[in-house]
Amino acid sequence: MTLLQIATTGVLQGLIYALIGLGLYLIFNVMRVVNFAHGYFVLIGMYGVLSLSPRSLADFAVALLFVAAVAAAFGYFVERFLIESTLDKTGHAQLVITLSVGVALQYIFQVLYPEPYQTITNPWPMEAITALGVTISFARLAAGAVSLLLAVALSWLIYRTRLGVYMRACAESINGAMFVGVNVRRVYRSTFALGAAAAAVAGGLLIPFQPVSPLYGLELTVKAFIVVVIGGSGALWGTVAAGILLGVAEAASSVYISGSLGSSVIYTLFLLVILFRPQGLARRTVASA
Amino acid sequence: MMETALSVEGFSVWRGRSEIVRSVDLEVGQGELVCLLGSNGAGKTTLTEGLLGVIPARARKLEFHGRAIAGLRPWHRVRAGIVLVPQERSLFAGMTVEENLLVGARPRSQAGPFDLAAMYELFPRLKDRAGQLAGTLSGGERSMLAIARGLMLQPRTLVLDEPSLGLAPVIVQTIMRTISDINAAGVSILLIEQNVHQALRLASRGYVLDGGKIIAAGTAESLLASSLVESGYLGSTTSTREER
Repeated sequence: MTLLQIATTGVLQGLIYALIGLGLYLIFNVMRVVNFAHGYFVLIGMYGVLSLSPRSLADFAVALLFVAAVAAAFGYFVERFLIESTLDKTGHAQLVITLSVGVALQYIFQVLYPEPYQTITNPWPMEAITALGVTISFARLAAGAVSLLLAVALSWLIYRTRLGVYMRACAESINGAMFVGVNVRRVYRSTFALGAAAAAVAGGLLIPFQPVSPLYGLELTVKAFIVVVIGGSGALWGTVAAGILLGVAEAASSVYISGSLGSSVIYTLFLLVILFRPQGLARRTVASA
Repeated sequence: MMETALSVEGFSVWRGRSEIVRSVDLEVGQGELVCLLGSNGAGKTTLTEGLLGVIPARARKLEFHGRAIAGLRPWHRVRAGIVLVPQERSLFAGMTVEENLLVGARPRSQAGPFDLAAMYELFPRLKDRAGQLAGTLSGGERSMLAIARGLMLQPRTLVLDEPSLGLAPVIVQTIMRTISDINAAGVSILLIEQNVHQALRLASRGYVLDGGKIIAAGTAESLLASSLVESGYLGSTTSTREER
Protein backbone atom coordinates (compact mmCIF):
# COMPACT_ATOMS: atom_id res chain seq x y z
CA MET A 1 0.00 0.00 0.00
CA THR A 2 1.28 3.40 -0.89
CA LEU A 3 1.58 6.21 1.62
CA LEU A 4 -0.99 8.19 -0.32
CA GLN A 5 -3.42 5.29 -0.09
CA ILE A 6 -2.98 5.07 3.66
CA ALA A 7 -3.33 8.83 4.05
CA THR A 8 -6.50 8.96 1.97
CA THR A 9 -8.16 6.08 3.79
CA GLY A 10 -7.13 7.61 7.12
CA VAL A 11 -8.38 11.09 6.31
CA LEU A 12 -11.78 9.79 5.17
CA GLN A 13 -12.21 7.65 8.28
CA GLY A 14 -10.89 10.55 10.37
CA LEU A 15 -13.59 12.88 9.06
CA ILE A 16 -16.19 10.53 10.52
CA TYR A 17 -14.32 10.53 13.85
CA ALA A 18 -14.29 14.31 13.62
CA LEU A 19 -18.07 14.40 13.30
CA ILE A 20 -18.45 12.08 16.31
CA GLY A 21 -15.90 14.16 18.23
CA LEU A 22 -17.69 17.42 17.40
CA GLY A 23 -20.81 16.16 19.18
CA LEU A 24 -18.79 15.43 22.30
CA TYR A 25 -16.86 18.70 21.96
CA LEU A 26 -20.12 20.69 21.93
CA ILE A 27 -21.58 18.90 24.95
CA PHE A 28 -18.35 19.20 26.92
CA ASN A 29 -17.63 22.83 26.16
CA VAL A 30 -21.14 24.18 26.55
CA MET A 31 -22.22 22.13 29.56
CA ARG A 32 -18.96 20.89 31.13
CA VAL A 33 -20.49 17.42 31.04
CA VAL A 34 -18.34 14.47 30.02
CA ASN A 35 -20.72 12.30 28.04
CA PHE A 36 -19.75 8.66 28.47
CA ALA A 37 -22.77 7.59 26.45
CA HIS A 38 -21.44 9.30 23.33
CA GLY A 39 -20.18 6.18 21.56
CA TYR A 40 -23.54 4.55 22.22
CA PHE A 41 -25.26 7.49 20.52
CA VAL A 42 -23.23 6.47 17.47
CA LEU A 43 -24.66 2.96 17.87
CA ILE A 44 -28.19 4.43 17.80
CA GLY A 45 -27.35 5.62 14.30
CA MET A 46 -25.73 2.33 13.26
CA TYR A 47 -28.51 0.09 14.55
CA GLY A 48 -31.17 2.56 13.44
CA VAL A 49 -30.01 2.48 9.83
CA LEU A 50 -29.44 -1.28 10.10
CA SER A 51 -33.02 -1.97 11.12
CA LEU A 52 -34.41 0.32 8.41
CA SER A 53 -32.24 -1.65 5.92
CA PRO A 54 -32.39 0.97 3.15
CA ARG A 55 -32.46 -0.46 -0.39
CA SER A 56 -31.62 2.69 -2.31
CA LEU A 57 -29.59 5.82 -1.81
CA ALA A 58 -32.77 7.81 -1.28
CA ASP A 59 -33.89 5.36 1.43
CA PHE A 60 -30.46 5.67 3.01
CA ALA A 61 -30.71 9.46 3.10
CA VAL A 62 -34.14 9.25 4.75
CA ALA A 63 -32.77 6.70 7.23
CA LEU A 64 -29.96 9.11 8.17
CA LEU A 65 -32.46 11.91 8.81
CA PHE A 66 -34.59 9.51 10.83
CA VAL A 67 -31.75 8.35 13.10
CA ALA A 68 -30.67 11.97 13.55
CA ALA A 69 -34.17 12.84 14.74
CA VAL A 70 -34.41 9.80 17.03
CA ALA A 71 -31.00 10.46 18.59
CA ALA A 72 -31.80 14.16 19.01
CA ALA A 73 -35.02 13.32 20.81
CA PHE A 74 -33.25 10.75 22.94
CA GLY A 75 -30.45 13.19 23.80
CA TYR A 76 -32.99 15.86 24.64
CA PHE A 77 -34.80 13.59 27.09
CA VAL A 78 -31.58 12.32 28.68
CA GLU A 79 -30.53 15.92 29.30
CA ARG A 80 -33.95 17.13 30.39
CA PHE A 81 -34.85 14.30 32.76
CA LEU A 82 -31.55 12.80 33.92
CA ILE A 83 -28.79 15.39 33.69
CA GLU A 84 -30.45 18.77 34.16
CA SER A 85 -31.30 18.36 37.84
CA THR A 86 -27.70 17.43 38.67
CA LEU A 87 -26.09 20.47 37.07
CA ASP A 88 -26.69 22.86 39.98
CA LYS A 89 -25.13 20.44 42.42
CA THR A 90 -21.48 19.78 43.02
CA GLY A 91 -19.99 16.34 42.45
CA HIS A 92 -19.86 14.19 39.39
CA ALA A 93 -23.33 12.74 39.10
CA GLN A 94 -23.37 13.37 35.32
CA LEU A 95 -20.44 11.01 34.95
CA VAL A 96 -22.36 8.14 36.52
CA ILE A 97 -25.56 9.04 34.69
CA THR A 98 -24.06 9.17 31.20
CA LEU A 99 -22.08 5.99 31.85
CA SER A 100 -25.28 4.26 32.98
CA VAL A 101 -27.15 5.45 29.91
CA GLY A 102 -24.36 4.00 27.78
CA VAL A 103 -24.38 0.64 29.54
CA ALA A 104 -28.18 0.51 29.36
CA LEU A 105 -28.04 1.16 25.60
CA GLN A 106 -25.43 -1.55 25.20
CA TYR A 107 -27.65 -4.15 26.88
CA ILE A 108 -30.70 -3.02 24.95
CA PHE A 109 -28.79 -3.49 21.69
CA GLN A 110 -27.52 -6.88 22.86
CA VAL A 111 -31.09 -8.02 23.46
CA LEU A 112 -32.54 -6.53 20.28
CA TYR A 113 -29.68 -7.57 17.99
CA PRO A 114 -28.22 -10.80 19.36
CA GLU A 115 -26.28 -11.47 16.18
CA PRO A 116 -22.99 -9.53 16.23
CA TYR A 117 -21.21 -7.79 13.37
CA GLN A 118 -24.16 -7.03 11.16
CA THR A 119 -24.04 -4.56 8.32
CA ILE A 120 -26.27 -3.34 5.47
CA THR A 121 -26.20 -3.73 1.74
CA ASN A 122 -24.11 -0.89 0.43
CA PRO A 123 -26.52 1.87 -0.61
CA TRP A 124 -23.84 3.82 -2.45
CA PRO A 125 -22.70 3.08 -6.03
CA MET A 126 -20.63 -0.11 -5.87
CA GLU A 127 -17.66 1.02 -7.94
CA ALA A 128 -14.40 2.16 -6.44
CA ILE A 129 -12.67 5.32 -7.49
CA THR A 130 -9.05 5.25 -8.60
CA ALA A 131 -6.88 8.31 -8.97
CA LEU A 132 -3.14 8.86 -8.53
CA GLY A 133 -2.72 5.21 -7.65
CA VAL A 134 -5.20 5.48 -4.81
CA THR A 135 -8.29 3.28 -4.78
CA ILE A 136 -11.18 4.21 -2.53
CA SER A 137 -14.66 2.71 -2.32
CA PHE A 138 -17.44 5.12 -3.11
CA ALA A 139 -19.03 4.43 0.28
CA ARG A 140 -15.94 5.60 2.20
CA LEU A 141 -15.46 8.62 -0.02
CA ALA A 142 -19.09 9.65 0.37
CA ALA A 143 -19.09 9.06 4.13
CA GLY A 144 -16.01 11.26 4.52
CA ALA A 145 -17.46 13.96 2.28
CA VAL A 146 -20.81 14.04 4.06
CA SER A 147 -19.05 14.19 7.45
CA LEU A 148 -16.98 17.13 6.26
CA LEU A 149 -20.09 18.85 4.98
CA LEU A 150 -21.83 18.35 8.32
CA ALA A 151 -18.77 19.62 10.20
CA VAL A 152 -18.92 22.78 8.09
CA ALA A 153 -22.65 23.06 8.79
CA LEU A 154 -22.04 22.71 12.54
CA SER A 155 -19.36 25.35 12.38
CA TRP A 156 -21.77 27.66 10.59
CA LEU A 157 -24.37 26.99 13.29
CA ILE A 158 -21.92 27.74 16.10
CA TYR A 159 -20.34 30.87 14.65
CA ARG A 160 -23.21 32.33 12.66
CA THR A 161 -26.55 31.65 14.34
CA ARG A 162 -28.31 32.92 17.45
CA LEU A 163 -28.25 29.46 19.08
CA GLY A 164 -24.53 29.26 18.30
CA VAL A 165 -23.88 32.60 20.00
CA TYR A 166 -25.75 31.36 23.07
CA MET A 167 -23.81 28.09 23.03
CA ARG A 168 -20.50 29.93 22.86
CA ALA A 169 -21.63 32.29 25.62
CA CYS A 170 -22.43 29.32 27.88
CA ALA A 171 -19.05 27.79 27.05
CA GLU A 172 -17.32 31.03 28.08
CA SER A 173 -19.30 31.79 31.23
CA ILE A 174 -22.50 30.19 32.45
CA ASN A 175 -23.20 33.06 34.84
CA GLY A 176 -22.46 35.59 32.12
CA ALA A 177 -24.94 33.84 29.83
CA MET A 178 -27.65 33.83 32.49
CA PHE A 179 -27.01 37.47 33.33
CA VAL A 180 -27.59 38.52 29.72
CA GLY A 181 -30.88 36.65 29.68
CA VAL A 182 -29.89 33.45 27.90
CA ASN A 183 -32.22 30.57 28.73
CA VAL A 184 -29.36 28.33 29.72
CA ARG A 185 -31.47 25.22 30.16
CA ARG A 186 -32.89 25.47 26.66
CA VAL A 187 -29.37 25.85 25.29
CA TYR A 188 -28.27 22.75 27.22
CA ARG A 189 -31.11 20.66 25.83
CA SER A 190 -30.44 21.82 22.29
CA THR A 191 -26.74 21.14 22.68
CA PHE A 192 -27.27 17.63 23.95
CA ALA A 193 -29.76 16.90 21.18
CA LEU A 194 -27.41 18.30 18.56
CA GLY A 195 -24.42 16.36 19.89
CA ALA A 196 -26.38 13.11 19.94
CA ALA A 197 -27.68 13.72 16.40
CA ALA A 198 -24.15 14.34 15.09
CA ALA A 199 -22.98 11.07 16.64
CA ALA A 200 -25.94 9.11 15.23
CA VAL A 201 -25.49 10.44 11.70
CA ALA A 202 -21.82 9.49 11.86
CA GLY A 203 -22.93 5.99 12.89
CA GLY A 204 -25.31 5.82 9.95
CA LEU A 205 -22.48 6.81 7.61
CA LEU A 206 -20.23 4.12 9.11
CA ILE A 207 -22.60 1.16 8.90
CA PRO A 208 -22.25 0.41 5.13
CA PHE A 209 -18.60 -0.59 5.65
CA GLN A 210 -18.29 -1.03 9.41
CA PRO A 211 -20.17 -4.01 10.91
CA VAL A 212 -21.75 -3.10 14.23
CA SER A 213 -21.74 -4.85 17.58
CA PRO A 214 -23.02 -3.56 20.95
CA LEU A 215 -19.51 -3.54 22.44
CA TYR A 216 -18.34 -1.14 19.74
CA GLY A 217 -19.94 1.72 21.73
CA LEU A 218 -17.22 1.87 24.36
CA GLU A 219 -14.47 1.93 21.76
CA LEU A 220 -16.20 4.82 20.02
CA THR A 221 -16.62 6.73 23.28
CA VAL A 222 -12.89 6.39 23.91
CA LYS A 223 -12.06 7.49 20.37
CA ALA A 224 -14.33 10.51 20.69
CA PHE A 225 -12.57 11.42 23.94
CA ILE A 226 -9.18 11.17 22.29
CA VAL A 227 -10.37 13.43 19.48
CA VAL A 228 -11.75 16.05 21.87
CA VAL A 229 -8.71 16.04 24.16
CA ILE A 230 -6.26 16.25 21.26
CA GLY A 231 -8.41 18.87 19.57
CA GLY A 232 -8.44 21.14 22.59
CA SER A 233 -11.26 23.29 23.88
CA GLY A 234 -10.51 26.21 21.62
CA ALA A 235 -11.79 26.62 18.09
CA LEU A 236 -13.80 23.88 16.44
CA TRP A 237 -11.18 23.19 13.75
CA GLY A 238 -8.95 21.62 16.41
CA THR A 239 -11.46 18.81 16.88
CA VAL A 240 -11.73 18.25 13.12
CA ALA A 241 -7.94 18.16 12.80
CA ALA A 242 -7.71 15.73 15.72
CA GLY A 243 -10.29 13.44 14.11
CA ILE A 244 -8.28 13.34 10.90
CA LEU A 245 -5.09 12.73 12.88
CA LEU A 246 -6.71 9.79 14.66
CA GLY A 247 -7.97 8.34 11.36
CA VAL A 248 -4.55 8.57 9.72
CA ALA A 249 -2.74 7.15 12.77
CA GLU A 250 -5.17 4.26 12.83
CA ALA A 251 -4.80 3.56 9.11
CA ALA A 252 -1.01 3.71 9.29
CA SER A 253 -0.70 1.53 12.36
CA SER A 254 -3.02 -1.11 10.90
CA VAL A 255 -0.67 -1.42 7.94
CA TYR A 256 2.72 -1.20 9.60
CA ILE A 257 2.11 -2.77 12.99
CA SER A 258 0.50 -6.14 13.35
CA GLY A 259 -2.59 -6.98 15.34
CA SER A 260 -3.62 -5.37 18.57
CA LEU A 261 -0.26 -3.67 18.95
CA GLY A 262 -1.55 -1.42 16.16
CA SER A 263 -4.22 0.13 18.31
CA SER A 264 -1.65 0.91 20.99
CA VAL A 265 -0.20 3.47 18.57
CA ILE A 266 -3.33 5.57 18.93
CA TYR A 267 -3.07 5.59 22.70
CA THR A 268 0.63 6.37 22.55
CA LEU A 269 -0.16 9.32 20.31
CA PHE A 270 -2.79 10.39 22.81
CA LEU A 271 -0.35 10.26 25.72
CA LEU A 272 2.26 12.18 23.75
CA VAL A 273 -0.21 14.97 23.08
CA ILE A 274 -1.18 15.10 26.75
CA LEU A 275 2.50 15.28 27.71
CA PHE A 276 3.67 17.88 25.22
CA ARG A 277 0.60 19.89 24.33
CA PRO A 278 -1.92 19.38 27.13
CA GLN A 279 -4.03 22.30 25.93
CA GLY A 280 -4.72 20.42 22.68
CA LEU A 281 -4.26 21.58 19.11
CA ALA A 282 -6.62 24.54 19.35
CA ARG A 283 -6.28 26.00 22.79
CA ARG A 284 -8.72 28.50 24.21
CA THR A 285 -7.92 31.84 22.68
CA VAL A 286 -7.73 33.48 26.08
CA ALA A 287 -6.49 31.74 29.17
CA SER A 288 -8.90 32.40 32.03
CA ALA A 289 -8.23 36.12 32.12
CA MET B 1 -45.29 58.86 46.21
CA MET B 2 -42.61 57.39 43.99
CA GLU B 3 -43.41 54.16 42.14
CA THR B 4 -41.44 51.22 43.44
CA ALA B 5 -39.10 49.41 41.09
CA LEU B 6 -37.76 46.73 43.39
CA SER B 7 -39.42 45.80 46.64
CA VAL B 8 -37.93 43.14 48.89
CA GLU B 9 -39.14 42.01 52.32
CA GLY B 10 -37.87 39.24 54.56
CA PHE B 11 -35.34 38.16 51.96
CA SER B 12 -32.99 35.29 52.87
CA VAL B 13 -30.38 33.72 50.60
CA TRP B 14 -28.49 30.47 51.03
CA ARG B 15 -25.13 29.31 49.82
CA GLY B 16 -25.11 25.56 50.24
CA ARG B 17 -26.61 25.00 53.67
CA SER B 18 -25.64 28.31 55.23
CA GLU B 19 -27.99 31.23 55.28
CA ILE B 20 -25.77 34.11 54.21
CA VAL B 21 -28.37 36.86 53.79
CA ARG B 22 -30.93 36.98 56.58
CA SER B 23 -34.34 38.53 56.33
CA VAL B 24 -33.36 41.68 54.46
CA ASP B 25 -35.85 44.46 53.64
CA LEU B 26 -34.88 46.67 50.76
CA GLU B 27 -36.54 49.00 48.30
CA VAL B 28 -35.49 50.82 45.17
CA GLY B 29 -37.85 53.46 43.80
CA GLN B 30 -38.43 54.03 40.10
CA GLY B 31 -35.56 56.16 38.83
CA GLU B 32 -33.84 56.16 42.20
CA LEU B 33 -30.16 55.46 42.87
CA VAL B 34 -29.80 53.47 46.07
CA CYS B 35 -26.58 52.12 47.45
CA LEU B 36 -25.91 49.03 49.49
CA LEU B 37 -22.76 49.26 51.59
CA GLY B 38 -20.90 46.59 53.44
CA SER B 39 -17.49 45.13 54.00
CA ASN B 40 -16.06 41.98 52.48
CA GLY B 41 -18.10 38.99 53.54
CA ALA B 42 -21.14 41.02 54.50
CA GLY B 43 -23.21 39.08 51.96
CA LYS B 44 -23.55 41.70 49.22
CA THR B 45 -22.70 39.45 46.28
CA THR B 46 -24.84 36.66 47.71
CA LEU B 47 -27.72 39.12 47.92
CA THR B 48 -27.37 40.06 44.24
CA GLU B 49 -27.25 36.43 43.13
CA GLY B 50 -30.34 35.73 45.20
CA LEU B 51 -32.10 38.70 43.57
CA LEU B 52 -31.36 37.25 40.14
CA GLY B 53 -32.43 33.77 41.21
CA VAL B 54 -29.09 32.10 40.57
CA ILE B 55 -28.90 30.63 44.08
CA PRO B 56 -31.70 29.54 46.42
CA ALA B 57 -33.55 32.35 48.17
CA ARG B 58 -36.74 32.84 50.08
CA ALA B 59 -38.69 36.06 50.57
CA ARG B 60 -41.89 37.24 52.16
CA LYS B 61 -42.13 39.63 49.25
CA LEU B 62 -40.02 39.92 46.11
CA GLU B 63 -41.60 42.28 43.62
CA PHE B 64 -40.33 44.07 40.56
CA HIS B 65 -42.59 46.89 39.38
CA GLY B 66 -45.45 45.30 41.28
CA ARG B 67 -44.91 41.86 39.78
CA ALA B 68 -43.88 38.90 41.95
CA ILE B 69 -40.64 37.54 40.49
CA ALA B 70 -39.74 34.87 43.05
CA GLY B 71 -40.93 32.09 40.73
CA LEU B 72 -39.01 33.33 37.70
CA ARG B 73 -35.79 31.81 36.37
CA PRO B 74 -32.76 34.14 36.18
CA TRP B 75 -33.15 34.73 32.42
CA HIS B 76 -36.81 35.61 32.84
CA ARG B 77 -35.95 38.11 35.57
CA VAL B 78 -33.41 39.65 33.22
CA ARG B 79 -35.99 39.88 30.46
CA ALA B 80 -38.38 41.50 32.95
CA GLY B 81 -35.80 44.28 33.28
CA ILE B 82 -33.71 43.54 36.36
CA VAL B 83 -30.12 43.33 35.20
CA LEU B 84 -27.04 42.47 37.24
CA VAL B 85 -23.51 43.61 36.51
CA PRO B 86 -21.70 41.06 38.65
CA GLN B 87 -18.61 41.65 40.70
CA GLU B 88 -16.63 39.01 38.81
CA ARG B 89 -17.90 40.62 35.54
CA SER B 90 -18.53 37.18 33.97
CA LEU B 91 -17.47 38.44 30.54
CA PHE B 92 -17.18 36.11 27.55
CA ALA B 93 -13.39 36.19 27.49
CA GLY B 94 -12.98 34.48 24.13
CA MET B 95 -15.41 36.78 22.33
CA THR B 96 -14.69 40.27 21.07
CA VAL B 97 -15.96 43.34 22.89
CA GLU B 98 -18.66 43.83 20.29
CA GLU B 99 -19.76 40.18 20.43
CA ASN B 100 -20.04 40.49 24.21
CA LEU B 101 -22.34 43.47 23.79
CA LEU B 102 -24.52 41.70 21.24
CA VAL B 103 -25.09 38.34 22.95
CA GLY B 104 -28.08 39.50 24.96
CA ALA B 105 -29.16 42.38 22.74
CA ARG B 106 -32.83 42.43 21.90
CA PRO B 107 -33.98 42.24 18.29
CA ARG B 108 -34.15 45.65 16.69
CA SER B 109 -37.94 45.77 17.02
CA GLN B 110 -37.71 45.66 20.81
CA ALA B 111 -34.61 47.80 21.16
CA GLY B 112 -34.61 50.64 23.62
CA PRO B 113 -32.33 53.63 23.99
CA PHE B 114 -29.21 51.60 24.77
CA ASP B 115 -27.89 50.30 21.46
CA LEU B 116 -24.37 49.69 20.23
CA ALA B 117 -23.89 53.29 19.09
CA ALA B 118 -25.07 54.63 22.44
CA MET B 119 -22.69 52.31 24.28
CA TYR B 120 -19.73 53.44 22.20
CA GLU B 121 -20.68 57.03 22.91
CA LEU B 122 -20.94 56.34 26.63
CA PHE B 123 -17.67 54.37 26.68
CA PRO B 124 -15.40 55.54 23.84
CA ARG B 125 -12.71 53.16 25.10
CA LEU B 126 -14.94 50.23 24.15
CA LYS B 127 -15.27 51.56 20.63
CA ASP B 128 -11.47 51.56 20.27
CA ARG B 129 -11.42 47.99 21.56
CA ALA B 130 -14.50 46.73 19.65
CA GLY B 131 -12.67 43.96 17.79
CA GLN B 132 -10.45 42.93 20.69
CA LEU B 133 -11.09 39.82 22.80
CA ALA B 134 -12.71 40.65 26.13
CA GLY B 135 -10.15 38.54 27.96
CA THR B 136 -7.39 40.95 26.96
CA LEU B 137 -9.00 44.07 28.44
CA SER B 138 -7.71 46.01 31.44
CA GLY B 139 -9.66 46.04 34.71
CA GLY B 140 -11.31 49.38 33.96
CA GLU B 141 -12.27 48.32 30.46
CA ARG B 142 -13.70 45.07 31.78
CA SER B 143 -15.87 46.96 34.23
CA MET B 144 -17.04 49.29 31.45
CA LEU B 145 -17.82 46.36 29.16
CA ALA B 146 -19.78 44.61 31.90
CA ILE B 147 -21.88 47.74 32.47
CA ALA B 148 -22.39 48.31 28.73
CA ARG B 149 -23.33 44.66 28.22
CA GLY B 150 -25.93 45.03 30.96
CA LEU B 151 -27.30 48.22 29.43
CA MET B 152 -27.74 46.51 26.07
CA LEU B 153 -30.48 44.47 27.79
CA GLN B 154 -32.51 47.69 28.23
CA PRO B 155 -32.75 47.37 32.02
CA ARG B 156 -35.38 49.08 34.13
CA THR B 157 -33.21 48.48 37.18
CA LEU B 158 -29.48 47.97 37.07
CA VAL B 159 -27.80 46.18 39.99
CA LEU B 160 -24.11 47.07 40.01
CA ASP B 161 -21.91 44.88 42.20
CA GLU B 162 -18.74 46.82 43.05
CA PRO B 163 -18.15 48.33 39.60
CA SER B 164 -15.10 50.20 40.92
CA LEU B 165 -13.44 47.22 42.58
CA GLY B 166 -9.69 47.20 42.04
CA LEU B 167 -9.64 50.20 39.71
CA ALA B 168 -7.40 53.27 39.70
CA PRO B 169 -9.02 56.37 41.25
CA VAL B 170 -9.20 58.25 37.96
CA ILE B 171 -11.10 55.36 36.33
CA VAL B 172 -13.35 55.07 39.37
CA GLN B 173 -14.27 58.73 38.80
CA THR B 174 -15.18 58.03 35.17
CA ILE B 175 -17.27 55.01 36.07
CA MET B 176 -19.10 56.79 38.87
CA ARG B 177 -19.90 59.68 36.55
CA THR B 178 -21.25 57.25 33.96
CA ILE B 179 -23.42 55.53 36.58
CA SER B 180 -24.86 58.89 37.44
CA ASP B 181 -25.57 59.53 33.74
CA ILE B 182 -27.28 56.16 33.36
CA ASN B 183 -29.46 56.95 36.34
CA ALA B 184 -30.26 60.35 34.86
CA ALA B 185 -31.45 58.54 31.72
CA GLY B 186 -34.18 56.95 33.84
CA VAL B 187 -32.70 53.64 34.93
CA SER B 188 -33.16 52.77 38.60
CA ILE B 189 -29.90 51.68 40.19
CA LEU B 190 -28.91 49.55 43.14
CA LEU B 191 -25.22 50.30 43.60
CA ILE B 192 -23.25 47.91 45.76
CA GLU B 193 -20.03 49.40 47.02
CA GLN B 194 -17.32 49.30 49.61
CA ASN B 195 -16.28 52.73 48.48
CA VAL B 196 -18.70 54.42 50.87
CA HIS B 197 -18.08 58.08 50.21
CA GLN B 198 -18.14 57.72 46.44
CA ALA B 199 -21.36 55.75 46.60
CA LEU B 200 -23.18 58.01 49.05
CA ARG B 201 -22.29 61.07 47.00
CA LEU B 202 -24.30 59.61 44.08
CA ALA B 203 -27.11 57.92 45.98
CA SER B 204 -30.22 59.37 47.51
CA ARG B 205 -30.56 56.59 50.04
CA GLY B 206 -28.45 53.76 51.33
CA TYR B 207 -28.42 50.53 53.30
CA VAL B 208 -25.59 49.04 55.33
CA LEU B 209 -25.29 45.28 55.25
CA ASP B 210 -23.31 43.43 57.88
CA GLY B 211 -23.26 39.74 58.67
CA GLY B 212 -26.09 39.24 56.21
CA LYS B 213 -28.41 41.74 57.90
CA ILE B 214 -29.31 45.34 57.26
CA ILE B 215 -27.88 47.20 60.22
CA ALA B 216 -28.61 50.74 59.06
CA ALA B 217 -30.70 52.45 56.44
CA GLY B 218 -31.49 56.03 55.60
CA THR B 219 -30.84 59.00 53.37
CA ALA B 220 -27.36 59.48 52.03
CA GLU B 221 -26.83 62.53 54.27
CA SER B 222 -27.89 60.72 57.42
CA LEU B 223 -25.67 57.76 56.62
CA LEU B 224 -22.70 59.98 55.86
CA ALA B 225 -23.19 61.65 59.21
CA SER B 226 -23.60 58.41 61.08
CA SER B 227 -20.75 56.89 63.01
CA LEU B 228 -21.69 53.45 61.63
CA VAL B 229 -20.38 54.34 58.25
CA GLU B 230 -17.15 55.61 59.70
CA SER B 231 -16.52 52.52 61.78
CA GLY B 232 -18.91 49.77 60.80
CA TYR B 233 -18.38 49.30 57.10
CA LEU B 234 -14.64 49.00 57.20
CA GLY B 235 -14.34 45.45 58.37
CA SER B 236 -14.86 45.65 62.11
CA THR B 237 -17.51 43.05 61.42
CA THR B 238 -18.47 40.05 63.42
CA SER B 239 -18.58 37.93 60.31
CA THR B 240 -15.51 36.10 59.06
CA ARG B 241 -17.21 34.57 56.06
CA GLU B 242 -15.52 35.02 52.75
CA GLU B 243 -17.60 36.11 49.84
CA ARG B 244 -17.17 34.05 46.75
